[in-house]
Amino acid sequence: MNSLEIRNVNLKYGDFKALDDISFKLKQGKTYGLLGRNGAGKTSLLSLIAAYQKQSEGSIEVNGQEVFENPEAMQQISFIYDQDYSEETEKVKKMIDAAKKYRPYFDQEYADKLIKKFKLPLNKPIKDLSKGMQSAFNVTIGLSSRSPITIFDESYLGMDVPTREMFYQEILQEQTHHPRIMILSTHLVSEMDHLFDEVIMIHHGSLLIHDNYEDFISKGIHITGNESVVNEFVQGHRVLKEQQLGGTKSSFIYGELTDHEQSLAQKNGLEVSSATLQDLFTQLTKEEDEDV
Amino acid sequence: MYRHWEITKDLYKEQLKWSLWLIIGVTIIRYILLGFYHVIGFEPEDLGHLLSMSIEPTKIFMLIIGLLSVYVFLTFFVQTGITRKEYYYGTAYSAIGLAITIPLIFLALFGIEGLFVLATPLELGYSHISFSGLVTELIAYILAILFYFVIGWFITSGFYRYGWLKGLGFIFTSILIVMINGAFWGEDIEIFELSINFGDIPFILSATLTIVLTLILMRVNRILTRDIKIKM
Repeated sequence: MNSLEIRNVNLKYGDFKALDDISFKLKQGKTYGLLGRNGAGKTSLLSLIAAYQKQSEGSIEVNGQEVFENPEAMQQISFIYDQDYSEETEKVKKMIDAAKKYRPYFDQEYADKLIKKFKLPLNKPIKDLSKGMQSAFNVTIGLSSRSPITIFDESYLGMDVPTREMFYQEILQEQTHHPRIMILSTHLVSEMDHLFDEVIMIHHGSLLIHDNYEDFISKGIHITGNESVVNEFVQGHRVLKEQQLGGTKSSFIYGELTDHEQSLAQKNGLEVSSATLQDLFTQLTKEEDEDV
Repeated sequence: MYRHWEITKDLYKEQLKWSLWLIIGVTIIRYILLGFYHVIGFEPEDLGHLLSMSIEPTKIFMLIIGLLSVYVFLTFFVQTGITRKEYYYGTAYSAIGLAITIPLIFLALFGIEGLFVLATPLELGYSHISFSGLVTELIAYILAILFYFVIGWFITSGFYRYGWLKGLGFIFTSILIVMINGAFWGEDIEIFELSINFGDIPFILSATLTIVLTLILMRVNRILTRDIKIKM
């Protein structure tokens, strides 16, 4: 059973703290949605996991072994991101052959299937592929390498909707048949949330949330009804957002409702509905001067 | 489980493929020059043999592939799950392999040329070449081109690690190191109006000094790359 454990990780650039005391543990077979606003530190965190740079403090371990400069651990990790291929003259086939050579779990048959599925031209230099095709190429490498820890950081850029859908299908299939630790960093929250088993939310370089997807979204609740009744009901709860139209008010609260509160809401004619991950993400990471 | 021998093999093969262009290019230019020496107006003997004629272009070639070694290969290898240490040893060993192979290929071509020249009235000064002279030249050649590779690697490591401004400092330092190495081989050097000439240094001492300088630079390159942040 593969595991990835991050303990008290800090990343500093001079006086700036890009990551502040991040800790979490990830387990094989689960797909993790890594969410955060622009500049929150998602890519910094992922680049540490992939040993692209060394953390300033703390430890990052794969199966109990520190990752940085460890050949066994680094082989277990694939980090797929939106690369600049404007000067990459190598052909698709040669790059896939290189992945095959150096990636110990690479599956050529699966790669061939994906090449066909994404209609990748094998003999074309990568720099000449469209943006969407370059993303499909990245995804093909990431999926067929079958690394026990596979990270996709905004890997869908330029892909059209059907291609993105194919990519999501492949992730689901892979997790069923060849389970790995899959980390998906994305801004397309509503489009990809069905893939997540757990949610990791980073805000201003700190870990805001690490929770099971179902448990987490069950904590986001919209309460709608008569203004005074809603006001009374939400007292003691953390209110993320309020909206009002005439005498009707809707409050978006974060937390759990007790059975008593649920029946109270029903008795008072309040409408209780679940929030989406996107709602929660938007409200939990909004800045004070933002009105969303 | 370190994979530096596998990386050495792959880098060596890839760079040897690049070097074929150099070898073919130098050879073609040589025969064009020899074919038209009376038109251009020089004595074929002045051109030197293939080994001595090829050293300057090979130095530039090795400098260029040294310059490419970080931006092209380091990023790719770390992305592929290879450590910086494996990359470092792979690069160092393949450069040594290449620095030996290229002169040997030129030497072999020189030998083949020699067989043909014997059958022609062309005077290329072969009678002045001694076996010991050739061995000395070959060793000096290997050391010189390996040194140039390491210089290119040093410059590019500095640029990759510290950005272009500090990178320029690495270029200036390299120019200085190249001049000092030149002085080890009897060249006059002038640094800020300071003229240095070490005089006639014995070959064995020159070779040793270049080896020491190359080893120091290699060590510095390891220090520069051992925890280098990979550009995304």
